Amino acid sequence: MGGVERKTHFHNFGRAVTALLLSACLLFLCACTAGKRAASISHITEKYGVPVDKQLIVYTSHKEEVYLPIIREFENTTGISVEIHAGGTAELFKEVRDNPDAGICDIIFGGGIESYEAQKDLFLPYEAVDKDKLDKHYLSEDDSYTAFTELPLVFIYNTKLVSEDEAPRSWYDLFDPKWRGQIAFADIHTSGTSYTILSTLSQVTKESVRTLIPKFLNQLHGRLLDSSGRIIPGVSTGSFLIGITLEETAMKNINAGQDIAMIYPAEGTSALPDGCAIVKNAPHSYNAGKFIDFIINYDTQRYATDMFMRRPVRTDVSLPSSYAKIDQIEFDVKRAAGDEETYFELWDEYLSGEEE
Amino acid sequence: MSIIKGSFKRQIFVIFSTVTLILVIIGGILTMQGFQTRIIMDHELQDEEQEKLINERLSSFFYDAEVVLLKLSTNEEIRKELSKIRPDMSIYTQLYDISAGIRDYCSIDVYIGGECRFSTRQGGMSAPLPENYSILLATREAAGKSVYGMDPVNASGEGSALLIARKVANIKRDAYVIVRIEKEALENRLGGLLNARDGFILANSFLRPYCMLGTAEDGHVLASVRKNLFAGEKYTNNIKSNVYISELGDRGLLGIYITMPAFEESAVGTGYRIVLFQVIISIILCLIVASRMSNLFSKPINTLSIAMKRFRKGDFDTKIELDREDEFGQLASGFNKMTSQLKANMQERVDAERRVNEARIEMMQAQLNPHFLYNTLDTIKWVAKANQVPEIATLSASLASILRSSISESRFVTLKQECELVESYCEIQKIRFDDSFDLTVDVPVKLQNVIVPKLILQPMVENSIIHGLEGRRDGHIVICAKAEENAHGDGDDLILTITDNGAGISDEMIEALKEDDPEKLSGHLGLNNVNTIIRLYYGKDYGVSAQRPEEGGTVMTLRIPILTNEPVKEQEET
Repeated sequence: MGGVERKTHFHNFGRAVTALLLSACLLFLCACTAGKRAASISHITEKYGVPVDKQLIVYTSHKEEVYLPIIREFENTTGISVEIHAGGTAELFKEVRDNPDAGICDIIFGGGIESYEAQKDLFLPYEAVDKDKLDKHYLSEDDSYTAFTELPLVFIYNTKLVSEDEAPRSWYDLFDPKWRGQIAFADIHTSGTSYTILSTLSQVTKESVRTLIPKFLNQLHGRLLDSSGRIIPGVSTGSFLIGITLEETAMKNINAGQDIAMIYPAEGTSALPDGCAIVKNAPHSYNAGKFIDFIINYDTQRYATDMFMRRPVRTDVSLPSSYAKIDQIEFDVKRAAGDEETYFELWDEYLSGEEE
Repeated sequence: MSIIKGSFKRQIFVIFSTVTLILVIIGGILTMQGFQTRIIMDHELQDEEQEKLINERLSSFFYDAEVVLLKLSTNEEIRKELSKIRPDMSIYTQLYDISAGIRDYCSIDVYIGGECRFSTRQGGMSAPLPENYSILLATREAAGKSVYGMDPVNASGEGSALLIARKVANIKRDAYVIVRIEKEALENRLGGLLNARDGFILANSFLRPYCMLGTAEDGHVLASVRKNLFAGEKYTNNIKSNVYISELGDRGLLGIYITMPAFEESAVGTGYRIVLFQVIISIILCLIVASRMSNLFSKPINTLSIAMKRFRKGDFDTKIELDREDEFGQLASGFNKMTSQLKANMQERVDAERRVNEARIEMMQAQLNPHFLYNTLDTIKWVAKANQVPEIATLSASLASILRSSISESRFVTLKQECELVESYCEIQKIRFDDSFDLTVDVPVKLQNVIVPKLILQPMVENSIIHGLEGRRDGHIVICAKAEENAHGDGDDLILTITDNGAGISDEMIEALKEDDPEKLSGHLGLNNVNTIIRLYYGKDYGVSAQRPEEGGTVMTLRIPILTNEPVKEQEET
């Protein structure tokens, strides 16, 4: 009996050992397969991993349809991978200002150059390769920023509610009582364009801000939009009769068949460009320089002109026939940048006063 | 630690829990890990199969498109027509004919410069493309090859149409044939291969998407992959889903296949919760088993320890009642046996002690008698002398002398005293045997003070008188003492010879003495005793020997070392 028992014990022991070996083999197999997968992962990671010298971090307030093809093309031609961080101009500037040493951003792309002028201290001066081919109007004195495209301000009106004869032709026409409460206009806190409009209005009419703002707010009759993106829908759907917006926006929407028409102001208009600048402490400043050169090179400027209805900053890029010739006023960027605080103070003061 | 060490139960609990917990935890984790690894492995294999299918389908689709593009861009009629300033609609015949196989999924456009001039698209032409930017620029630069690119018009982070373009060969103007594949077409093409929990992204080498399908639509996975690649980490890092990236040939396209992880976190969580549950159960079981075990062990030990304490205090009737057959039972019965034995031993010793005491009292009482006897003998001697009966006086004086010597506690006497005792003894025997023998003692003066064991000569002489001189009238007994160098040559031995002229000792006896055989000496107890006493005191070299000289009679020889002190108890002598 004992012998049989011992044999059974041995049998059990053998089975346990076999089980153990089997599980060990299984683990080994798993490890092998995992190894194959790991190899594939590390192959792709190695091939498509982006080394630091091939990186660029772009903060942009442009619309996706604008920045994306440009950045894609930049990637394809330079081999530099771009990390895109999109947001509103003010928000992006604030983020950069709040993290001066973090190296979170290489370049800011988009937003009126008056914002760049006002916050010059954030930027690393860079002289673009094709600087001599750029429109002298909007060159930064110290190369703090570089203009990308010029964006003239235009009036728009609803073609079904306003006849061509009635439509405003002059900046002064905006104050006509018939437009009271009918002008689509966004809050200057949320829209850089609105600020540019006010600044242009002030510079064209040579009226002091102190009288202009209450007068203009009165004309708006308390109807303020929370974003400049709502100006076109506001006018085209008839909520507002007229509006002031960028030529680019207006043209795109007219081409898209919206019920709006565009008028260039008789006194001329500002064509304040949007800018681009390298941030101080940029971790990839060399690539950032390449990016600035890229966005103002002939092909990109040509592309932006043809595709985005944006006027080139390069003098050697000819305007297509679809663009009207405009009278540009001598827009004082510095003044616009310097007055910013006063505008905001007055705006808030009168806005709250009006509400009361 | 002391809390544990202080209790058997707790020790057992700790040991049991440790062993069980190690088994349960390690076993549980191993099982979980093994199971997980296995499932993940299977899952990955399945995913890889699926990914391969997707990639194959896309690749074959792209290959077909490339073939169509090659045919179109080198087609004689198309080239001829495009060389004209105003190419006419006859191009369409070729366009539709050649693109028949792929037209269901894409539109085929013919661009002259940046303008789309011919298109299979329903309801109009495709949008103009920038001539010196993106796809057309790349196509021009890579003439003779198909180029993959994104539609630069209406770009979106969610994806842009895939354009496969090829420059029309060998004509003067820049003309391109472009296959345009919209996101929806890709989705339809892959439709059957993606299930509801899968995702797929077709991207360029900078991970800009052409399309994001299924679960990848929200772009989170792509963003995470980009982030990882920027950080120089594995592209799968920090992504819960399984991500498989593979290159679609050398087209600069990446297929990113995304599946749900084999294990939801909750499943793994459940697994580990089960392990935790097992741990708790085993702790409870350990507690119960430890308690039972400790009872099993500690109860008998406790009983034993209590019994031991009682026993120590002197209760020899302590008994352990254990209804067990194991080692504890054996221990208990052993203990019981031990106590009863000890009790018996104790009793015995007490009895012995009592007996010793009684003997002592008896002895003390008996000691009165010899003195009384001795005094009486003395009185008899004086009475005999007064009545002039000299024999009685001699008898009583000799008997008194022998009695004194025999009741003295000393076991050694001087040779002179021993001789005097023998002389007294012979005085009595002479009267008894009617002066049939005489005794001569010849001890040199220098040997008279040699210490010898008491009563060694008397038995010799008695032997001679009773066995040797029986029936003789002229018996002589001579006791001689002399010194002789011993066998080692380091001192002298005393040689005492008792010579008689009797019947002579038998050969048998001589042999018996030589061999020190007590059986044969049984009839001569005295001789045997003397021999034994001498040997016990002085060793085998000494003792009694006998001779039968030719002239007759017997010579008994005693050999003992010459000592002036007692051999063993020196102090008693002083």
